[in-house]
Amino acid sequence: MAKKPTDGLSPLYTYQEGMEWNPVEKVIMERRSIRAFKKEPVPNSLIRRVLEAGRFAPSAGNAQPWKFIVVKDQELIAEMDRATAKLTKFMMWFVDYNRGPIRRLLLAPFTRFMTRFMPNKLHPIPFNLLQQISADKASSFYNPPVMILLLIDKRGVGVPALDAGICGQNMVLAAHSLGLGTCWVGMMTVLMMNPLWRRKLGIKSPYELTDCILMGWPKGDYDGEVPREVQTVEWIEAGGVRRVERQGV
Amino acid sequence: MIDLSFGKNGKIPNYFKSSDMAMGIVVFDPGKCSACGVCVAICPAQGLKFTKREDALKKRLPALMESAPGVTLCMGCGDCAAACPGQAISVKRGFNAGLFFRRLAQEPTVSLPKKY
Repeated sequence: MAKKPTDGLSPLYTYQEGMEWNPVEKVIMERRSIRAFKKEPVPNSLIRRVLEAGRFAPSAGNAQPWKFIVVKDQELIAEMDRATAKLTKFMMWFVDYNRGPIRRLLLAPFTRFMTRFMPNKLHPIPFNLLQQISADKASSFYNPPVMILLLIDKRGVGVPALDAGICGQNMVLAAHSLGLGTCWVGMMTVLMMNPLWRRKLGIKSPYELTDCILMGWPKGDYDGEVPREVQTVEWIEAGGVRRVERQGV
Repeated sequence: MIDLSFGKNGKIPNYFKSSDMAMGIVVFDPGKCSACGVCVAICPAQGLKFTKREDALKKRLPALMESAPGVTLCMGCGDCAAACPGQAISVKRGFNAGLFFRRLAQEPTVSLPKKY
């Protein structure tokens, strides 16, 4: 990645109203999910450095309910991509009601029920992605040089999935600050529905795998600030005074 | 507070009906766009394509594909706007599904990160 200018940024551990971003904030604001990677391999020491950021993430009760698997085997990643496409095609045969009038008539009620049954997995956005993958128009893993599988220990304190998410985001921000590009991919959930693949990757009971992080040198410089929706925030001040503020305008 | 239990508000949106879904809108500035194709290559939803017909400036600009009137694949992530070397792309609206999946705390207007 092109070396970015860091002069002119605010120093760390200080605050003045309306000041320039400091380096940490800059990495957070300009991080974009990178889906196009160079073939160039990532040195092992750099991967270890990124993993170290994950090891020191906060977790409920210091339970550290995570485990990492680093995949550098390009053939295995390509095989995973093909297997995901195959499984997606099989799954979409049952829920994709937009392939013709007869299918729409027969499948729409079932799909609606399933959408209500698992709203997160059949949200419009992943549903569209699943459709694109089953039509061979999109890839699920984008051929990265390194893939970090983020396993969740189900026996952790409180909500282990949340702890694993914090750990993963720590690694992502560390990787971006080191010039790498990363992307969270949740399509791993589809692959993990197949017990053969669970055995092949060695994912056994206390652990479960839902997300992975792709990592590599980005092809081109895509980082930058983008607009996001204005958020309405509720403030509860002293004395129980409630007000709603628009964040970001 | 909007009630999302059963009844009218609990309905699942039809993904292919523009009245149920508010898809993202990205706008290209034809003066600044050099038709390099970075946005088309990186769009995570594969929603951008080059238009077939040349415009007045003899350029084939990329555009957001519509599968039905008002229905696109854009989810308003802004990757194209961040990647564009000429700052020719601007995100006008984010993605917001309707009915059951509507976002409750976000407004349709978008803004860049603000330095408070």
